[in-house]
Amino acid sequence: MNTTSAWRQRTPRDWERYVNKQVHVTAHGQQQHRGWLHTVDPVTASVVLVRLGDAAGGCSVSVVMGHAVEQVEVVGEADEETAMRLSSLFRPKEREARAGGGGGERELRRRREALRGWLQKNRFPVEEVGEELLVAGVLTVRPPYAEQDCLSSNQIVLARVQGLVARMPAPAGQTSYDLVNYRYS
Amino acid sequence: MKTPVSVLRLPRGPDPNSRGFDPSSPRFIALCPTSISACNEPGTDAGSLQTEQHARSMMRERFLRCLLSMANKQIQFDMYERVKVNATFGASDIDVLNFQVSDLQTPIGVQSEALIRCQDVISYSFDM
Repeated sequence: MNTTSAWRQRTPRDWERYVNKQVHVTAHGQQQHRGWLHTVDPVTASVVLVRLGDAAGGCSVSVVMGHAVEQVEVVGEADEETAMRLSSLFRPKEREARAGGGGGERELRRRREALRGWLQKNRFPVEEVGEELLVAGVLTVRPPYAEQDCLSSNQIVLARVQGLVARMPAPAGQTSYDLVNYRYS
Repeated sequence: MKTPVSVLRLPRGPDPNSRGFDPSSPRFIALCPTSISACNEPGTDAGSLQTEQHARSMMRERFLRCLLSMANKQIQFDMYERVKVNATFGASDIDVLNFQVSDLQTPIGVQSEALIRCQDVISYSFDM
């Protein structure tokens, strides 16, 4: 039996069983790789292995291409902390960290109201759903209501709304002192 | 009068209205084996299809985010015939069949831009 294609024939549910486990991978040419299995790409069966560094976050990543994988052996299980680190590894910075810098509840509410008004002015129907805004029934804006907080499965609506969010003018009536030109604007 | 040049017709690109790769394209059939095994087995129900699809999406999302984080980083590629090269990662194509890289360090010099065939690569690694 051709061992290199056996790994690729496995089902996604099989591959999922290896996620967040410490594994030993043998690749073509007796290459040995060891690390935490972050994921298996369902299209190419490539194995993403991570070697975690210290808690500060540095780590090294190896990917073994699916067509070169000969054997994958589980040698350990991840504890909760490691599993959390693995799942957040490539994700963008947490929204809460960005929202926290913005000045708290009141600021978030003000931004939500401002964005809602702006979208409605531009003829988008907007509904408040908890802390999120539901735009035209297909797009959700989460706190802190910036361009990258828009979520939608419709790419045309997403592009239009992101463009609008980027062009939203600063709220009228809010004066600030321009320190460069020494005047109020 | 200049000699007319024959027109080079490029193959059609991916369908702009679709959400992803085209499983019926000859390129995909020739080079990427199908992994939708639940659809091929007889007697599977909607529930197991759903769990399989959930597993596929979760793992594919993780893989795509990993690819995204590789952008502009130095990657070491281990290829067949004991070839090891370093390059700066640019982009991958949708089927993960080719990688576009810059400053590829080869034994005969540095290529400013290059395409690496993923089928020639055994493994690659980088630091976060």
